[in-house]
Amino acid sequence: MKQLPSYELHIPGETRALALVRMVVTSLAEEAGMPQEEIDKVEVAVDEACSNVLEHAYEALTPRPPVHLFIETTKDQFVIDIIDQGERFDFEAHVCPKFPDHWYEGHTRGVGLFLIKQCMDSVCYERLPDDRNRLRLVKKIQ
Amino acid sequence: MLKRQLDIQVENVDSVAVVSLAGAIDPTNVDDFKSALKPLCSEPPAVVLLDCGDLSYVSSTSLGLLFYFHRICQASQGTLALCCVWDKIQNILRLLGLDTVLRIYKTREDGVKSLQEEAKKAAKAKT
Repeated sequence: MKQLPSYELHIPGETRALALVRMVVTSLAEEAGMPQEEIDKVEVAVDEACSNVLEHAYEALTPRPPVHLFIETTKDQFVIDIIDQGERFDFEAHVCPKFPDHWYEGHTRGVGLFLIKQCMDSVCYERLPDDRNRLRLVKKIQ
Repeated sequence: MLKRQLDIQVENVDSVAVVSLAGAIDPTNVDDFKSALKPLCSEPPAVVLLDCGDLSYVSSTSLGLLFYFHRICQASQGTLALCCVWDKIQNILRLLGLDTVLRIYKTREDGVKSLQEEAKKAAKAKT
């Protein structure tokens, strides 16, 4: 496979940027040669991750800072880093809900992160030394 | 330019409220989706078919709303169902167990035909 360039995307902390993010990420996943079903999953994961930043991490911030995305295709992985400047999230405390029980129990939180974990091969969250947060999403390329 | 539009068209087909959705439902327009469904699902007997043939994306928030409105319709002996759902959206519904909760028809015709019977029963139960 040819070496693909990496991309850096800085988006405003506004939900109207989500459509652009989905478009860019799906285009790059397609360029990486991923099958359509996997491209769809990457689209969901990145959209939900960015939505979580805007809705939760940036909830108390006005104006909302930008969100930074770094997208890299290696020979066997498609990697997306989503970096925000919001509140730290207790990633380890998230327990994957059971569906559809979660809905019947009246819960609405945690659905986005559940989808992210289901759609990607690896998800890790880290507080960076400069007090930003990085969510790294990895999809293996067959 | 960045905002992906959501187009919502509602028509009544023999007591079935058919809602045609086109575009993407995400946090920019989920309130429009909610506002469109609320009156349709609140007036019993609510028999609603969402035609997703031109719907290319749904976020988790809108899927939560689907479950919420399903329960509202169910409480009035009504039904909220979907038709013409893209594979990518079917896969998300499956992950969230909504494929076992919501009725999903392959075609709009199948959905309307089946729901018309439901609408008749619901109307009869109301009287």
